[in-house]
Amino acid sequence: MELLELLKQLKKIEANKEYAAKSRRVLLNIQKEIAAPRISLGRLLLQTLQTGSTIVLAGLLLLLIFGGFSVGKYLTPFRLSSLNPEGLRAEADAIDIQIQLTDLNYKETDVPLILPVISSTVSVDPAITKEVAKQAKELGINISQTSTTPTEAVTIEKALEELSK
Amino acid sequence: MFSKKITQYLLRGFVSSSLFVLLPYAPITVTHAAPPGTCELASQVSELRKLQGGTGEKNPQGLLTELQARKNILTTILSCSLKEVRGLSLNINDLSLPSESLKPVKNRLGNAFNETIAYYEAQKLKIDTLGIQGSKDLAKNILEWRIGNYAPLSEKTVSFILWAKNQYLIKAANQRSAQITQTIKALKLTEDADIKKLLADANVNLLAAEETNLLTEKAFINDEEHYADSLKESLEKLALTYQNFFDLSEAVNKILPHY
Repeated sequence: MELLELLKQLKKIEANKEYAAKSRRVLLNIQKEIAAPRISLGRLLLQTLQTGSTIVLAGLLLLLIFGGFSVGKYLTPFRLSSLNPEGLRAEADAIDIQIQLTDLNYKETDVPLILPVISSTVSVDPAITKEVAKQAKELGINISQTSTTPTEAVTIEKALEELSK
Repeated sequence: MFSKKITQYLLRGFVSSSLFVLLPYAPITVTHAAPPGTCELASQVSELRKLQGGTGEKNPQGLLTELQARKNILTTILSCSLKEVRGLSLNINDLSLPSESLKPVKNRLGNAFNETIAYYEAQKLKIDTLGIQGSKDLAKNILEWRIGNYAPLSEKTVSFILWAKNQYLIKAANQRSAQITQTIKALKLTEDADIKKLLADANVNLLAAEETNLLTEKAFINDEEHYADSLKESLEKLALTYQNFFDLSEAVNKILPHY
């Protein structure tokens, strides 16, 4: 019975009048702002820019995914210049030339021009043979340019030999 | 971050590669050497053979003609020899030395060339007074002198020029090796067994090339005669290093994706 009486008394509870008035004012102001946001040219431009850039970025992403682009292809060894066979070849050729010139220097005069000592994986480059012949001539090493035709040139040594007879 | 590093390597590699191609050719100029072929001896020797061809005793006029032909050939030979030695001497003068310690080598070779020139000049003065037998003797002496003196001098000079040029090749190989090592690290392939072995082999060969190259340098500085083997061995080790580089290029290519 007491409990029933107590519950009836709850009906009499009321909010503080001042607090209720303050809360109402706050709520009504927010509603006003939500309902009518301030429109300005700067805000409009910013919103347009945001939307535009979002669309462009999304488009770009789709293009990258479906357009066949891949970062991997920029990492293949042929694009890594330190391992580029063409660059390596140029340096290896220079060594080939030096080896051949060294060999020629210790041989008898008028020896046939030999083929490159290294580069077993590639065919003989006529440009290298030509370069060896050119440099050998500049260094005063006598060579014949083909391995089949014996040279017709008479060297100083041969001429002296003839003269001493 | 990774792609930024790769870009840096690409750029660095491009610049260095360009230098590699140009470096070995830049400081060596051998354009002053006597151009072979300008000493035309074949026709003169052939003419002498014809004059000597007849059997029996030669008349005085025939002997005089032969003597003149012999003198002409000797004159040509000495002119050609002088041109030859002057060309080689200029090559040595123009040679850029990799270090100051090699200056005495250059000076020594220069002095030897001066002696050679003096020898040839002295022989030229003898020609006018020669008879047939005298021309034979002079030819024999010059031949022996060339074999005993000029041939070793010429061989050593050319070896020294070639060795000087090799220094740029060794430098280029070192730079290349460093770049390849960096690239392989960047690609995180250092633990791949094949690549690891190839890289180690390349380093061993390059080190051997440098060691034998140093032996050659010492032999030149000390005026020793055993420079030829180490000179060639150094180049052969360098060639093996590049073979390792090619194999590395192929191995990395197999691992990285193809597009």
